[in-house]
Amino acid sequence: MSGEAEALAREARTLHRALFGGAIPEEVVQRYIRAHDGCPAARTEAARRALDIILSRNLDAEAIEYALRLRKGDPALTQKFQILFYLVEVRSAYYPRFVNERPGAARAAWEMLQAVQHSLVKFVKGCYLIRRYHLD
Amino acid sequence: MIDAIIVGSGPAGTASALALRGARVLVLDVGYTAPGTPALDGNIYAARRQREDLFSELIGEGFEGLRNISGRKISLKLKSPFTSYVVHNWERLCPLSSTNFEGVVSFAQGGLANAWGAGVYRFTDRELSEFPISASDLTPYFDELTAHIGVSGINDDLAAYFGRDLCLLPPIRISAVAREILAAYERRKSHFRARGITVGLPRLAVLTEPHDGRPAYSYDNLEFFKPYNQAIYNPVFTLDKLVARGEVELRRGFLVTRFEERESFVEVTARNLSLGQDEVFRARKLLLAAGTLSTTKIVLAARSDTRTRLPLLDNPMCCIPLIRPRYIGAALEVNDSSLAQLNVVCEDESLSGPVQASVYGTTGPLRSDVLFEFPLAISANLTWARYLSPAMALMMLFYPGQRDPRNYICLRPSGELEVNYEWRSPGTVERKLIREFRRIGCLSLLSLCQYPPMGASLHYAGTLPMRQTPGEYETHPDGRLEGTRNVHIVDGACFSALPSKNLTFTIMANAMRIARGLPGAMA
Repeated sequence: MSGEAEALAREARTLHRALFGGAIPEEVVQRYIRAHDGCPAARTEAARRALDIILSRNLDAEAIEYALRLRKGDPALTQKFQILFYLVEVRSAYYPRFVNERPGAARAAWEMLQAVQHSLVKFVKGCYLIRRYHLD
Repeated sequence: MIDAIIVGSGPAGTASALALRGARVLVLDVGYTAPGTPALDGNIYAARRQREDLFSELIGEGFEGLRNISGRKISLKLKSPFTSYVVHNWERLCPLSSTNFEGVVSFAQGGLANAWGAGVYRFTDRELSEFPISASDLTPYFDELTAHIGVSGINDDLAAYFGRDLCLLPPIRISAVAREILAAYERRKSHFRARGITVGLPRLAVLTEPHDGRPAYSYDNLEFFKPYNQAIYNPVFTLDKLVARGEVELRRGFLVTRFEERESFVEVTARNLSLGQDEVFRARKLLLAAGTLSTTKIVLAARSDTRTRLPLLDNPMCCIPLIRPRYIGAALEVNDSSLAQLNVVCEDESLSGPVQASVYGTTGPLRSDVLFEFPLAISANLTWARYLSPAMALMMLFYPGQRDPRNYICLRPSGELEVNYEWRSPGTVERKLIREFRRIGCLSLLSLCQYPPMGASLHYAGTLPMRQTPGEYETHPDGRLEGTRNVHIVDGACFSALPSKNLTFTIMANAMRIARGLPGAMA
């Protein structure tokens, strides 16, 4: 495995752990690496540098991605997240995360409210991390 | 000598071939076909729940499903591994340069109708007011096509806009959210009608009963991933039958580049794509049905004209999300379809004609296609998408195409098409619809509306418009290109105007009308 592929594999495992928890299927890791061939914006030097810092310092990737997305539109980090989301969505193990099968309005409302609060925290944290580590 | 060459196998080419069957007709087409069919049977959601991995079927070994992550975005229906053939290679075969028009061209057999929404709407006299023909000229062909392809729907309030049709199959089953919207509209109909808003069921080229050897629609929700659903009409079905019966000859792998008129026939030059060589075909008549952009390119190339700017019409679009709060957190209705659930017509004084909208559910595409459109952190977006989807409908609004001297198409010396299309929504119709739908319990905000770029509608028309007395680069009422004797334009290029309703059905009827009007219908 080349240096870049190894870095992408490490990246896939870390992002997956942060977003979904648990181990990522090895098939998804390999697809994540191959998917970057058709996604030049996600392979830029700047993206690689940012990911290196995030991974080496174990920073909150979701917070950084969110703050960058709101401030800059469509950063390379968002594209990496998108790749990962597509690759896991087509697997049955992740189906309940994408499709609601259990009706429950109160539970939904509560979780949606929590999600907004979670986003606010992530945004503030992301802005701090971006400034602290010069990630923009 | 061949009687007629038809260029293109989309709705216009196929309808012309149907009209001319029996004559010596040759259809020239690049004619890409699907690379196969995905191993998906039954409902997409059942498959997603039961099968461990659907990467090959939904994303593709070539990562076709990730196409919109970087680069220019295309319709979600055109990017899955088994549907991307619809736009395969188009940027090489018909390069298009523009900063504000994101159109696409199809070189697939059946053209862009391989990925259409199957809405079949008859242009009425009001919408044909700028055409040199009337609705009664098209009626026999509308009727013939309705019987041929099978159209589901109902003569409800929208019949005033869509035309009354006596041969409709029963309408498709719609989602619970759409049913509630329709019921709420029925209760407040006079209020809506007084404000120029009409709601009803769509007319679709989708079978709700078996028809002509094709099965009824099975609500499998596979429209975004599986090509050639026999229940949803595709011109390929008709052309393949005509070819199988020996009534038409189809030669695939040919890209028509130009034509030249001789004394009593037309010479058509086409590139044989497998050999990389030009070949010449001769026929008494030439019918150009390659799709508006390709047809325009062929006409300009035939005259080696790299100066003239021709007009272009497209339907500007707006996507309005509607939320029905009581369905938030409900289980997703998976035995649904990604077909239009409702149609809405809205009259607005500021516009030349009514605005038409189709209301869709959200069960068609993958969640990842839309997740990053939500304004929250990504895990929060996933939570919101999961719970909002069952309550959400998307209203796709189509504005009439407006003539504007700033909007043009021309051929560059390099062979590229150059397009400029400028448009900005006045926002009045969106505002009105959001306000009125809020009254019946559908929430939305103007700030949530999305405006796809021009070209995204895939409805292009009006480059070589029909006129009673045509000038250069215009066509006669019989589709004949001014300055030619035997060249007829039969696709959207010859439309004199572009109302807000889907133009495919009218393109087909008009192509049949023109083809049948050829001397002795050729046969």
